[in-house]
Amino acid sequence: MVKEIKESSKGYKFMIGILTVVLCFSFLTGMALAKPVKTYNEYVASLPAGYQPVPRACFEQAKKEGKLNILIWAEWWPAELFENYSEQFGIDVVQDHYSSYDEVITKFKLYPKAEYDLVIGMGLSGFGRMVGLNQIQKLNSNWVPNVTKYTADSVKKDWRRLGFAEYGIVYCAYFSGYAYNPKYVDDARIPSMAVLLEPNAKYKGRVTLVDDMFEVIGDALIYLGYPVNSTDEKQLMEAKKLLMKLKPHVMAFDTWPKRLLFEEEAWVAMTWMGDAWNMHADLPNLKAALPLEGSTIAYDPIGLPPSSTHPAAAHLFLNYIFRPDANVILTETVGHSPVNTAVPELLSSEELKKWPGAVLSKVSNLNRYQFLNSDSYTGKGLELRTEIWEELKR
Amino acid sequence: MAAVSVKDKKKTINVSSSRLPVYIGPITGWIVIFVFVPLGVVLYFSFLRAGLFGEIINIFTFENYKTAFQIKYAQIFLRSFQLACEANILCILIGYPLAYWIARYGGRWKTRLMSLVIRPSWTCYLIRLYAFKTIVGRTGLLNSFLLSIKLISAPLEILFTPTAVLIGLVYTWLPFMILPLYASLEGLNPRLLEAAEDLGATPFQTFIKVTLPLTKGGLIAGSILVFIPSLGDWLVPHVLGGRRVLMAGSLVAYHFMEVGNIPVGASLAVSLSTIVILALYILIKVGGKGALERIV
Repeated sequence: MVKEIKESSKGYKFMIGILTVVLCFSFLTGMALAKPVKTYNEYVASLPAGYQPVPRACFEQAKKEGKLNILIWAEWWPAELFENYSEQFGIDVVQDHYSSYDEVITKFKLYPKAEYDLVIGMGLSGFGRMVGLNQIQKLNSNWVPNVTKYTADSVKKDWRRLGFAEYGIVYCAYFSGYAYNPKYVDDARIPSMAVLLEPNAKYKGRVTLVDDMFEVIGDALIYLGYPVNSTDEKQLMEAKKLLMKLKPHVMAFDTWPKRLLFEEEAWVAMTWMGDAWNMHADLPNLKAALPLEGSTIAYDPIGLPPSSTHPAAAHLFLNYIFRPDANVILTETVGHSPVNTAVPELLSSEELKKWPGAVLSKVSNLNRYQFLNSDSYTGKGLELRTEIWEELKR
Repeated sequence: MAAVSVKDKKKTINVSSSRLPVYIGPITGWIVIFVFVPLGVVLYFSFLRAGLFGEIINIFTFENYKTAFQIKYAQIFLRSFQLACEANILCILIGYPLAYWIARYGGRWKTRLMSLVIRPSWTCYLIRLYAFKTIVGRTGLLNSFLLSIKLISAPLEILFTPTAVLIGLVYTWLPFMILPLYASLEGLNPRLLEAAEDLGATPFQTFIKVTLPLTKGGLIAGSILVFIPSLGDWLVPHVLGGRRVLMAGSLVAYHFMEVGNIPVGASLAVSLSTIVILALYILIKVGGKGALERIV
């Protein structure tokens, strides 16, 4: 009996020992990833060479604010990023999620005082509409020096041309295209949008389109050789004709067709290249194609709503995620093309480096990929697109 | 004895009247705040104009109703009406025999059998729909089973069709048909059935002339509980219809969310609510007091 108790006590000691080692290890690892900084000088000293600190005023105000309320699409950003930021600066990060940008716009329309400091993942059309509705405030560009330093010049130029340079920042670019199962799709036309948009008896009922009228109609317009934001009724009716011909072949309008692809119910799915990369993690056979004739390209911006009560913490966060070491964690999770010029060479996955559209500088004929703008989602453009979409779904 | 009884009754009535606001105040307040105020807001929005980016402009207009009453939307409303009617009929066809069998022959198992009817509702509606998707999918359980027993040679195309939406509506709302039906069948006096039999009625005649009229209240109550939510359902066509089967509820959501035109969405929602109120009125008129009692 005594011997049994002694043996059992030895077992406990052994378990406690292992637990202590594991706890110490995780504590030390955490420390290594994000060492807490209390003063501005500590913060500046903690930065790797080349990384830009925010100005002292921003840092000190952010420390006083102590909180950051983020409204973000789904749970697609790595938790590690928020945890490291929170641990390093002692700022509490609270996340709220939405499933579609329309939800955010409606929320701010009905309740403009909603207390969020950052809105992430709205896409270009959502962001454009928010700016148009005064739901996004101007940024203090002096408070985000990493963004200024690392953002690609071509992106800065586009961002200025789109009229959003003063509002928000871009953290990634993404292209629409399609994902396909090579077991069933061996079309010689790959990578052309014809695989997706031209009805093919072989794939009848195996095609999915994203549930987004601007993307679907926009891609149809580009495929036909027209501008993505066309408001020309004749061109739009031609796009409608193409989509109506495709309608019997469409299985579903699904923006995240992972399950359908996984169960091999869908063989070709319209999607964004980053999303395809994400699905590829669980479906190793899945392939993606970036159409040669072009498709839509979008930047994913981040902005501060006017109701933000922790603006300095928000700027500090934006500057933090633009550190190349933090940005690489983000890119490897979301899969979209980083706009941070230092990131592509830091990517650890060779496969990601070769993934269609994953590295902006490797995309040939970048001018074939077109941005959606307010011509599509306001006035006549919206009216005609709504009419087409309703008929497509009726 | 009689005098005491009258006194007590009087006292009770007095107490009830004086405390009436206390008793019904909270529930009335709840209904006003959470039902009438939001409906009022939606009604108000439906008469306003939307700006270039979908912002609401305080200019009174009937334009939204002109848009809502277009033929293309009438088709979608009719389809929703048809699907809701079909779902209701199927729920009656499945629910009535089931409720009848449990009430009549359930014996000491009645409670357990009824608990089986409501047990699926313990799981979230959305999760059940996703589970259902796995069952009726092309490579799902149903097709695999039918293929394995060689009843079919190619998988049935059910998912993302109006049939899937119909099945989903029946699957979701069936318990709400069974419960009031069971309550009215359970309250049916068996002596009336015996009397009908003694007077020479066949089982069919007994059912048509005694059982059915006496359980009409449950039937109408069940129809109210199935038809009305089916008419405005958004989630079933969204999940099982693959967003290809547009119903009235989806149309409202589409205008609110994707088009970003809240006034037009509100006018469609008001039109849908009017249809629902009209349907409710007709059903209560037909079903009478019995129907209302079964719902409450």
